[in-house]
Amino acid sequence: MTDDQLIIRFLDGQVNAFNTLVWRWEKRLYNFILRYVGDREDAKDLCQKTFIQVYQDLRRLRDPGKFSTWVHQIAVNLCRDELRNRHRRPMLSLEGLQEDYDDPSLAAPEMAAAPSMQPDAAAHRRDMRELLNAALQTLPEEQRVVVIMKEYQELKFAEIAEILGISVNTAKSRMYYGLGALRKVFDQWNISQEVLGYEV
Amino acid sequence: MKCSMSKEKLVGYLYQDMEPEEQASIEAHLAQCPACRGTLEDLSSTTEILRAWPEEEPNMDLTFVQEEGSRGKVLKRGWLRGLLGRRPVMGVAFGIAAVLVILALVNLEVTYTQGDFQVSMSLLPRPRAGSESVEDPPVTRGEFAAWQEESLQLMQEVIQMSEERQRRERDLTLVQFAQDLERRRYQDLRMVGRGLEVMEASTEDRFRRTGDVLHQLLTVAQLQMVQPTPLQRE
Repeated sequence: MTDDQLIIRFLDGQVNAFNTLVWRWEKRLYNFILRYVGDREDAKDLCQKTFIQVYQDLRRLRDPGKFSTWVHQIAVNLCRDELRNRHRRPMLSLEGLQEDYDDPSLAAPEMAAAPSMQPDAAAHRRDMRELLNAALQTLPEEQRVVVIMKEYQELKFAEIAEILGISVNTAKSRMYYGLGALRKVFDQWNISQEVLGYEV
Repeated sequence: MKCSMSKEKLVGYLYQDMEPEEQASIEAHLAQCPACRGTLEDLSSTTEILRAWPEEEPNMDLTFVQEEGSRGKVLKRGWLRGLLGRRPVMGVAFGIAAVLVILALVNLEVTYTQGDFQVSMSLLPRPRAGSESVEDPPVTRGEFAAWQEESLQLMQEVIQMSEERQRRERDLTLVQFAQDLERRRYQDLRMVGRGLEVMEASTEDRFRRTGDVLHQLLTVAQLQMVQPTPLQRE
């Protein structure tokens, strides 16, 4: 059953159809918000708020075929509100980094933030997730959201542009600069495909 | 990029998300432009790294339920998580409070007789000690020796577990130390590389200046040979 059909059934009064929709979208939306705001507990809360708002406003959605765009718009707005309310994270300025490897600001965060250093593959993957999360959070918000939508949500640039209310070229331009900035961060933190493939 | 290929087209080509008529022209350009090929390769490798973060399970169990007698619907998480709240500290506090309440409801009695602790709990008050007498059987030497041996075995197991844990912690420290060393080695190599580049640039500059000075000297010498000084004429 497609999302459109579930929405139509829900509008006819079947609550379970909405639950099916929620369970179908829960993981994808949670991961989108997680990568956007960088915190798991906040992501759970925002995901819940998104579904509540979807539930309340679903009758206003004129075209059920646009559900994906619409739910992403709600999630983006909630995430932006959250980031605005939150204290600013210290952003890494790549130009200002000194060439002093004793400078703690240069250290990749995984050694300090890793929950464990057990020499096993699962812990290594966990550390890599935290590293990539931290790297994404160094991006300006407008670049980060485009990178996440393209790379993880696998949306088309036309969809991204519609969700964010920008042009396709602007979306591509932000993607270009976002990937470029991430490249510099990965180089600085010695993150490479070889390191990712390293199994202790 | 050092050519006319736009970054938007490059990104579109990377994700195969572009107008169909653009693909051929982009590919033709890439075939002739190593700079763009290099940029495309960098973008591609960055995306490969990003894909090392797979999707995580939310573990939320969101469910919309119909409240009886009301039009409204309530979003509940998995009941246990909803009960305990999202903060583990609240869950622990709730658990401790529940334990205290249960203990307050039962009669807890702890007695110590002849080296043994006895704990008893019941919902009704127990009769006071002394209203019924219980004789503990005497402990034989054999039983005491068996108990002693069992205690020794337990202690040995505890010591072994402690040694095992220390060995694991030592291994973890060594792994972390090796990783730190590796990271510093990369950083050192980068610094050395940059230093060599700076030195090379500085040496080139000095050679160039020396060359300029020599050239000037030669020019002056040639001029002097062509136009001798008044003293020499005399």
